[in-house]
This record gives sequence, structure tokens and C-alpha cells, in this order.
Amino acid sequence: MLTCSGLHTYIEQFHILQGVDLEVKRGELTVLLGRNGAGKTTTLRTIMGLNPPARGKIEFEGEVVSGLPTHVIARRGIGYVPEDAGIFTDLTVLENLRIAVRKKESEARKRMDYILELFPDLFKFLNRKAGNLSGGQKQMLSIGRALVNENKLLLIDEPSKGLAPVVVNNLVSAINEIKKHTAVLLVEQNLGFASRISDKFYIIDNGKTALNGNMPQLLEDRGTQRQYMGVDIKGVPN
Amino acid sequence: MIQNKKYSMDSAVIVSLLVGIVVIIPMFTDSRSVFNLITNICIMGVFAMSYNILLGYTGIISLGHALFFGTGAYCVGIAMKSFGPTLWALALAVFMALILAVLAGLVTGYLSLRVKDIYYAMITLAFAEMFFVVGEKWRDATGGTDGISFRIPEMIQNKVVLYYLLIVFSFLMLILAYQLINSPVGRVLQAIRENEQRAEALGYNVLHYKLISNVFAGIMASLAGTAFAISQKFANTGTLTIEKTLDALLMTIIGGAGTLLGPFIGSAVMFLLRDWLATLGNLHPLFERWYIFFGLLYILLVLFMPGGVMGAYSRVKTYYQFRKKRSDTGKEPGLKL
Amino acid sequence: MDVFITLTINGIATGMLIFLLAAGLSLIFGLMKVMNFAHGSFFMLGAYMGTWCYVSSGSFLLSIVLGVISGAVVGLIVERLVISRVYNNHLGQVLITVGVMMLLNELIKVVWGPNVIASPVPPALSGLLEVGGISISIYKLFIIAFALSVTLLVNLILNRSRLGMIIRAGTQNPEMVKALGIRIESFFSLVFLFGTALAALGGVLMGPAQNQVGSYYQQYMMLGFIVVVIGGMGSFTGAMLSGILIGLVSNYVAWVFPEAAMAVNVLLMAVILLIKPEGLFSVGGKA
Repeated sequence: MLTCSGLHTYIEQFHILQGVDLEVKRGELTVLLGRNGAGKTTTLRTIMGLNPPARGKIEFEGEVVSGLPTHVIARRGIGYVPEDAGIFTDLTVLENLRIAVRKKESEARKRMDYILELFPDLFKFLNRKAGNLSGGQKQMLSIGRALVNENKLLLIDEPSKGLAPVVVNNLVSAINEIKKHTAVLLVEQNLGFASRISDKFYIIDNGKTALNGNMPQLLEDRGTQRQYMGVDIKGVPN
Repeated sequence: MIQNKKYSMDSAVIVSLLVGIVVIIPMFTDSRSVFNLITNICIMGVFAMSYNILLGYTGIISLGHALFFGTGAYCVGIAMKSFGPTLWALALAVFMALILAVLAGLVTGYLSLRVKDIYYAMITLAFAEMFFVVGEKWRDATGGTDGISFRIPEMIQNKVVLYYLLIVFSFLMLILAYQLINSPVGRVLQAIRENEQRAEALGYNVLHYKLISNVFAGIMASLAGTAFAISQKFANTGTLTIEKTLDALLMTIIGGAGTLLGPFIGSAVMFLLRDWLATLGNLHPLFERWYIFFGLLYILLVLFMPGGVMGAYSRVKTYYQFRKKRSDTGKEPGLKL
Repeated sequence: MDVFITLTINGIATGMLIFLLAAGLSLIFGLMKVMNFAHGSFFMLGAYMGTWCYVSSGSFLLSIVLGVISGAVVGLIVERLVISRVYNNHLGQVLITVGVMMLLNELIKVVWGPNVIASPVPPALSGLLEVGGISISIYKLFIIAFALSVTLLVNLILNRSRLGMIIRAGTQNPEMVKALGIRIESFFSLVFLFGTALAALGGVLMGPAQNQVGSYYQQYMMLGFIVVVIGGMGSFTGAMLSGILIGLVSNYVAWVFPEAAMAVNVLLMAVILLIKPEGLFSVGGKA
């Protein structure tokens, strides 16, 4: 569904992505792993058009989207959940959801119900300013907002960061439910969390895709884990 | 892009030519208006050059630069009025202009340079406004809007002597600016213009250097103000207005920010164009408001040709160099910039 | 005591008009990150256009309408032709908007001349209101009421409409708005012309308040900046509260020591910039 070939991205004069190739297939959750600063977030931003690639190609559903403006890419059916949730703190929870609606509001009702079922907490705080939510709730809102339109692909950046284990559990069940209908490309540093939801993985090292394969493979190979991510799944460092 | 020494060979040739012309003019004419025109171009050129140090070399936009200019002008005016038209008083005035410029540069710089460019522009505007209000209200000292008329020392009353004095002054200022730009300090300033955060990351105390730039530019502007007052034998609040600052901005942009000669060229263009448009004004009233043309020209330049005249010149030169190299060697050279 | 009341009413009235100027500036900066140095010129444009229209036609309503429209039209032209080319370029923005200021000021001089023009108060709004032995200018009260209504209207739009929602969101996090499929640049023109129209409206009302219109109106830009800095970028309410504050301070200080009025305001701005640069009520920033 999504293919990236040979992506090079510069931020100011820094050469962040130095050759990223990856593929995301329908019905799967693919995770991007790697150290801090390896280029995982930049990869998502490049796909979304926020940092256009200097070289390389991005194809989504058979059409080239690299070089298109962000809002056009979004309208093709890609939803984005940035690292800090990116919710509008000054708007209410409901407004945060409504702003994403592109169809008639009446048609969006069904989607809203689906989202509120996934994240019942949001229903309680519908009219509160989004800035008053807890970290976990903000993540839920951001993911929910990305689901308002029937996006075919979600790009999610480190959703579990800084969240309590209970909240992370909720997140896991929600994402496992979501990935039944929507492909997901996830960036994560927490291998434990990633292992509970991912089907495929890519490792980004120094701005390049270094390794990829099926998730179960990686989970058995603790040496590789330590090599590319600094620690393995049991917390043993390199 | 940081100027390198090869480029300034050309500048030296141009400067010598211009200086030569300017020096021999009095041999061909006696006209006061010609003298005035040339000295005005030179003095305002110095003022614009001081502005260029901030804008073109350090990358900051001040909207209050006129406060230095006016300070210098009033130093001369007040000194001449209070102590009589003697050389001693003049020397005192210049000295005061220097001291006050340093003080003003340090104080305004310290308060305004720590904030982002946009806020800096606003604060400098505010400072200039305050100086202007003081100038207007403190009638006893400044004569308010009417200003101060005075006589200048006998020794320089002769128009040819005055002419040469002001030319020499401008030339000295030009040399001074050249020294600053090509010194290590100057290079740091240009680095700050290119990428402030990087300069900071490299260990340079950016605020410190911006302050140096501010004080230097202030001194030069203040001295330009003294020269202005001497040449006009008059000083009023017109020297403190935002329009004066905008004049410097216009000249810098038209001539080419970040180049040594740009401000002078911009000054020449403005004065000559202004005269020309004014004479055209006799034909059609629209030309009376020639300032509109400058405003339009300015906007067009900022949008489409930010290098100004000097920028265009260097592009043309590079193009011809490129072509020449190509026909000489038959191969494509690396582009020399 | 009644001097105090008069000063207060005048201060609030002036403050409201400066607020109209500053509100547009603040909205534009909040959403588009452009500091419009030409904004004072739109204020002046409204003043000249409004006064000229009223004197020519005798209809104050028409003069308000025309003043606002002129501000909006010129604003739209400026935004499309010039401002849109310098988004994301801070240096360019300052240079360009200063250039627009130069141009507009000259154009105004060309059309209406460099001299001060008398700006009469419409008879229906002139005169004094006697309240408990104190005389209050009716026109000043009108200004306060009118400006408050405009504020209410704008607040309604900002908080109850989709347009307002997008503007508020865009002020906080423009990237996220784009990532939601919304072409935020389309809203830039709208917000810009709305901001300049507000400034022009302020100018229209200021004319009769001072009984004259002149090129010195340009100085209101400075006060507008001060209000925006103190109130906080992007905050509509902040602009209003600090507008009133500045208006009051100007009037009180001017009564006691006229020369110091501007200086005090500038000092306030400098203090805020050094202590809390984002202003007292600012809104911008990400989630």
C-alpha cells in the first residue's frame, strides 16, 4: 500500500535520512525501530510531506505522493499522530475531533461512535479543553482524530512514551482493534510495547533502513536488538 | 555568503575610479548645487553604510537607526550654537557625538538585541520614537521642529574646502567599514547573519557580537549625522524621524545589502533618481510623489532582486567570467563565487 | 472626580480603538506568523476614507462601511501580491511590510494631501450625556459600545464557527492542521484582510474622536505593537484587555505629564518583552 524508495531528507543543512526504503502492506502493523535520532520521526514526517524528501519516491496506493503538499497527502487517506499527540490544547475534545471532519457531519456520526467506543474516556471529556487531558488521553484523542476520516494508513509516532502501564494496555487493545481495518506504520523505541502489536519491523540506523523482517524473528534475536537499539527486550544493554 | 578577498579587487578599482572623479570635479565646476549633491550622496552613503553593517552584515533590521544620526547632528548644532563657530567647539561636538553614540548603542543594544528580529524591529522603532519626542519637546536645547541654524567655523566655510573635507571624511568611513568587515569580528558577524544558532553553537557569544555591531554602526551613523549638520549648517528633528531610517534602508537595499559599495551606490541612485523625477514632476503631477516609485522599487527589489545593484553586477560578472573561462579552456570550470 | 471619569471614559474609548488595530495585528501574527508593520497604515487609511466619505455624503453609516471595505480590499491585494511571497522568511517579512507601509502612507498623501483634515462628529452622536452631575461624551460611549459589539461578533465567529475553529487551531499548530487535510494557506488571505479591515474600522471611528485626521495617525501603529506585545500574540482577549490598559495609561499619564505618555507605554512594552515575551495572555504553542 505504501512504498518508500531511496528517501533522502535534509533538515536545514543536516542530512537526516540517507536512504530509507520501506513497504507497508494492508492489514498489517509495521513498526520502525531504532535509536534516538536515527531518523524514525523524520521518516514519518517525510511521508506526510512536512519535510519533503530531497531525493527518492513515495508511492501510496499506486500513486506518487512525494512532493505533494501535506494537506493533499492527508486527503489521500493518510492520518498522522505526531510524537506529542499534536492536539489543539485550546480547543475542546469535541472540536479536536470535529475539525478533522471532511464529509458532512451527519455521515461522520458513525465514525464518531466507532471512535468513542474505542476510547470511552473521551466521551466523558467531550466539552473540556483538550489541554486539560492527561498524557494518555491526549494520545487517545490524537489517534481517534486520525480515525475520523476513513484513512487507509495511520502514521503513529511513539504513542506509548511516558504513559503508565495501565494506559499502555488500553492503547494496545485499541491499536490491535484499529489495525483490523487500517494499515499502521508505527514509530517506537519501546520494543516491549511494539512486540504486542506489530507484524513487521524495520530498523532505522543513522538515517538508513538497516534491517527488516517479521516481528517474531526479531523478538528471538536479542543480539540484533542490542546492536541496533542499545538494549534488548529484557532490558539488557549492549 | 562571506565576501572573499578576490572580489574586493574589483571594488578597489571601482572605488579608485569614483574617488578620482569626485576629487577632480571642483576643477571643472564651481556650482554649489553639484558640490551639495555629491557631498549629500557621500554623507548619506556613510549613513546607509552604517545601516548596512547591521542589516547586510549582521542580519538584523533596526527601525530606529535615525536616533544615532540625529544625535550626531544635534551635537554639532548645539555646540555651534552654544560655544560659537570655532574649531574647538566642533571637535567637542564630534567627541560628544562619539561618546553618546557608544552609550546609546550599548544601552539600546543591550535592551533590544536579546529578543527575536521582529521584536527587535519594534523596540528600535520605539526607541527612535522616544528620541524624536525628546527632540520635539526639548525646545530649549533642540529648537523643536524648527531646529537650529548655525554658522560653521571660518576655516571650513569655503565651499571647496568643505567639499574636500566631507569627501575625505566619507572615504575614511569607507576604509573603517572595510576594516571591520574583513576583520575576524566582521566574519563572525556574517556568520551570525547566515545562521545565528550555528554561530552560537560554535561558541560565539552572539549577543556580544551584535552589541559590537550595534555600537560600531551607531558611531558611524552619529558621525554621518555630524557631517550632515556641518554640510547643511542646520539640524532639526527631521534627522530623528523614521523616514530617515527608511532612507538608509532603501539605499542599502537598492545598492545591495551585504556589499561594501552597495549603500553608496544606493545613495547615488536615490539622489539622482529623486532629482530626475522631481524635474519630471513639472511635466506631470504624479511624479511629484516620487517617493511612491521608491517604495515600489524597494518592494520589487526585496521580492525579486534582493542583491540590489551590486548583486546584479556580481551576477553579470560571474556570468561573463564563466563564459570566458569556458571559451579559454574548453572545459567547464568550477563556479567561482 | 469628574476629570477622572472623563479621563477614564476617554481612555477606554481610545483603548478600544487601539484594540481594534491590535486585534487584527494579533490575529494575523497568531495564524500566519507575519508581523504586519504596515498595519498602522490601514488604520490611517480607514481614518481618511471614513472622514472623507462622511464629509462628502453625510452618512456616517456609509463612511463606516466604506472605510472597512477599503481596508479589506487593500489588505487582500497586499496579501496576495506581496505578503504571500514571504511566508516563513522573517527578514523578508519585516522588509516587505515596512515597504508596504512606505507605499501606503505615500498613496494616502497623494489622494488626500499631506495636511490635517477636520473630522466632524455626526450630529446624532455628538453632545454630552449628563449622569449624576458628570458630563460624558456621547460619541465616546458610542465607540465603546460599537467596539464591544464588534468584539462580541468576532468572538462568536472565533468560538462558534468552523472557520474560527480552524483559525484557533492554526494559531497553535499549523502543521497539524495541514496534516488533517486542511489547506491552511487559504485562510491566510481571509484572516489578513479581516485584520486590516478591523484596523481600518478603528481608524474610521478615531477620526471624529479627535475631530481631525492627519498623517500622525501613523504613530498608532506603535501603540498597536505595544498592545500586542503586552496582551500576547494571537490572543484576542489579551489584545482587548491590554488595549484598554494602554488607553487608560495614555490618558492618565498624558493628563499629568503629556510628554511622558508615549515613553511610559514604550517602557511597559520593553519590560514585558524582557520578562514575559509571550505576553500576559498568549495562546500560541503546541499541545
